[in-house]
Amino acid sequence: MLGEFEYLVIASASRLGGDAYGASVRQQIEATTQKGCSIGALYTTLDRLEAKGLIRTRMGDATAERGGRAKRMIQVTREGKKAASCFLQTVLHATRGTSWEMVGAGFKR
Amino acid sequence: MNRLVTVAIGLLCRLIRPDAREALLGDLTEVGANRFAVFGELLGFVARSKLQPWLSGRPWMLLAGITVPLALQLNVAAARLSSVHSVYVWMYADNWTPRYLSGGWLWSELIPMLLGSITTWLLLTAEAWAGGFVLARLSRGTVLIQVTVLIAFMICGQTVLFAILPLPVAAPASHAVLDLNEPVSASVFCTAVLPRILQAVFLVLPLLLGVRKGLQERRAETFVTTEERL
Repeated sequence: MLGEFEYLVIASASRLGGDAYGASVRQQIEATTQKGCSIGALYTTLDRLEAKGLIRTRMGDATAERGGRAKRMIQVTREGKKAASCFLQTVLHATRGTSWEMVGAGFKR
Repeated sequence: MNRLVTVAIGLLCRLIRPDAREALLGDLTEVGANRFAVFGELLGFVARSKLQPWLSGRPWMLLAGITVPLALQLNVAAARLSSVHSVYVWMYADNWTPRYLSGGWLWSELIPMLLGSITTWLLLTAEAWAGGFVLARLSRGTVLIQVTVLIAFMICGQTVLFAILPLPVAAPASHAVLDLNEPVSASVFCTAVLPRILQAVFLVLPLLLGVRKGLQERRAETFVTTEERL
């Protein structure tokens, strides 16, 4: 099963769609978790997810704001979406009947 | 300090694949990270990448099953050979006469001794090369640590072993023992320099060449597989 951080990466990349690359996914994760996200940890996770076939990456266009360096574009595969869905179902199932189930449902950032 | 950090960043970049390096540095530039933040992020990435494979059992099996046993075996064999050859080197050097190169002595003693020594060292060389090649093929991302451990144990394996394991040590002799090779034992060249030279030439260098060959073949296979997919 996916790890928590792996789920965050896949969910963020899926939400960003065609705009998903290293820096944008990191920004998305930081906005969601309200905590800092190490780029090194992100890239290690990307390598791991790609090795499992849950995402596909390719080198995108270089831009001046990146010092002329290319982006690593991320695309979630069908297997990745299945794995993310399975993770969410497991978390929801585990949460049923807990004291924070209803609290979590109304929680807004 | 800035210069030091820049040099450190350069060294870390060499340990990262070109595409990953470009994307990482690009992202760090985009978010406006300063030199120290770049160094920290790259160090974190390199450390995670190198340590990640060790979370599975395979590298540990390789370490315990091939790396350390091979290194210790080469260390013991090389130490014994060096010890014997040191005696012969001292003997011939100390008693050198051109008569060694003439007539019966050359063919009956010197040449067989040289051929025997060279053959034995070449066998160890082949073993070191094969060990390096196999490690490179099987390591998958842990080759740097595996080879470092192998070389370390190959050079000082016996010292480490006796320090770690509670092996029985022979009791000191109750009487003075005549050391027939005392002149060799007293020679720094014969006890320290010559063994290191032999280890470097016949073990360490072939090992590194074997590792290089193994890595080249693995990269070529990866390239062919990628080509087939495209």
